[in-house]
Amino acid sequence: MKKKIGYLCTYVPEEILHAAGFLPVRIMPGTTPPTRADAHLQSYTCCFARGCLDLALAGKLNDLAGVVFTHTCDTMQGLADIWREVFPHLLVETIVTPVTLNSPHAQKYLVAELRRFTAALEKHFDVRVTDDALRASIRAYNARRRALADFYAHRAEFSAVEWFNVMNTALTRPPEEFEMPHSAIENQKSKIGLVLLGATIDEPTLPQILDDLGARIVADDFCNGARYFDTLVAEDGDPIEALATRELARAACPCKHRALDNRIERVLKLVKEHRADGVIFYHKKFCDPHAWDYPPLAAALDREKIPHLLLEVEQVAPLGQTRVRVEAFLEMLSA
Amino acid sequence: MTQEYWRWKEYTWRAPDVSWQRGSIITAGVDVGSVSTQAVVMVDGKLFAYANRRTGFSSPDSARRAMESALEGTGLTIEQIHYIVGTGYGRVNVPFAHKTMTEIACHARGAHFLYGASVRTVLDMGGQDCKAIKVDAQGKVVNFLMNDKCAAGTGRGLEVIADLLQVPIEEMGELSLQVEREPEPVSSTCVVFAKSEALGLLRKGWKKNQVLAAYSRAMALRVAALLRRIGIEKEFVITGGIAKNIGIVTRLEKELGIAARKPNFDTQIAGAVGAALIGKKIIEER
Repeated sequence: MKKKIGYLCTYVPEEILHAAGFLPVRIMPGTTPPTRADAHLQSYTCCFARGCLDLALAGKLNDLAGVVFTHTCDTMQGLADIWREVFPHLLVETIVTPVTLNSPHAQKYLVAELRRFTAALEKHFDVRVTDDALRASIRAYNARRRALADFYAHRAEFSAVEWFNVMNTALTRPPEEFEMPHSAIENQKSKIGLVLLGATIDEPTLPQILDDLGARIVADDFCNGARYFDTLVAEDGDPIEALATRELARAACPCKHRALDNRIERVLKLVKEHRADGVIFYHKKFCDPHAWDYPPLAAALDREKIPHLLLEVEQVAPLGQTRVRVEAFLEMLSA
Repeated sequence: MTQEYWRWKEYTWRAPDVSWQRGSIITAGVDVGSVSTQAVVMVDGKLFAYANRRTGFSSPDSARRAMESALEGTGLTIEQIHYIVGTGYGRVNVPFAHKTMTEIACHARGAHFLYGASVRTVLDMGGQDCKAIKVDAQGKVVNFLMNDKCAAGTGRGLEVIADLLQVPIEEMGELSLQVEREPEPVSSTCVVFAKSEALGLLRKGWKKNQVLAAYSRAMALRVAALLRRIGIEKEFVITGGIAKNIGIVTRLEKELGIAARKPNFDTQIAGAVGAALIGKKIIEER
């Protein structure tokens, strides 16, 4: 079996890890309340960072040969340093991705950074990452991106929980293992379609509530959702150049910048294209990149008369509290 | 037995001039909240009877008890009611309900009925949470926000302070206003921490009315922050149990610079009234 390397952000190019002979797996926090991470973190750290560190401290990530971070939010940068200190025997790398994605220097800079990262990987594990291996990995991950896009095209047939399971399974499995689920929704109670926005969705309380109440997720902008498979990597030319080009071109997360209205335009486009009835912001408490993005996004939705609901959750969304908000929102949309 | 200062009066009300036998649409709303349960029976859209009871640990029992109290002596039975809507935290556990709606939709509709169609902002201050609701001229929800931190701005928090200070809960509001100078608010937003803080003030020699003033002021400020996030539009009204606390209402009005319309009914029944009216609409649309 292949050794695994964990990563915490989809700006980490899985292809490089894969071409080096590892299985890249996305680290996601579990659903048990953290008991170990608090000794290392401030109270204003988000539950994602807290949950991931807690898993590692509990020994649940002992099968990882390394962990890769990227330069995104302050918390992830701090977490990488804590990880280095707590697990000195592990390879802990940070890929310092550019913030301004359309800067004239971004491509050149990112190519150099990805080459540095590749060399560090080769040196630490005494492996060689050849261009041929990279091209094969790019093809494998492109195939999975296409498969996920195809799954999304048939999204209306699947429940929210099935969508959640597909996405969260995909990011921890080898790329060639993706299989389209078979079951389809029954007893659709409501035709209300929603767009979900947020960093990651890593526990199924909200999808379960949406299924119970008969609402459908018609589109999303999650890191472990639509953002993950957005934009393919060119399969010809220099593979590192191609990976950098894709990173800079794909849908940007709130930690990155392209243009002031870039994310607003994308969200409005999602709502219109999918004829959504409303938007749910699924925010983790203390996730400041998403919190800073919220006011202009909410104002833009207000201008377009698109109803929206903000849910702020900790590691596991509180069932009763979340349900009453979602239910009242759906009542509002159907009234 | 020691006095239970937190205990508010349970009661039943009957309309003197409404007959269910002559009515054509009889509907009811049952609002099983975290602290109190109300059952409201309406005949052709008019208030016929209601009961307000404390919620027990079993939602179905609480719902039944409130409903039976409301109907007691009227000759009307649960089975004869054409449509019953359950609402509140225990809404899915009202065994005799035909439908459930959230308390947000019901308080909006109920406030629209009780205070009139000019209502645009409803603040529901309940037992364990607090909701700011924007409504349209039809009593429909346009937008809403709920408190997401703790119970400091809620009825349960008041009950805790009533017990600590040994002041009957229904007298707290009045007493809190009997201060010469308004003290600084307690700073904690958690009931347990606020209680510790109140205890600290007592030890420093503060009088009960001063501590109550500090606690009530903190509640008013927290709720004002919630309302400002959603935006306050006139007419502004308050529903739920805390609307009966003059100390908190007065401070909230002062903080916001806007007067809340004064009710001439029990503000705790708004949710159940809304539920009964939503039931009536369903019958009419059949």
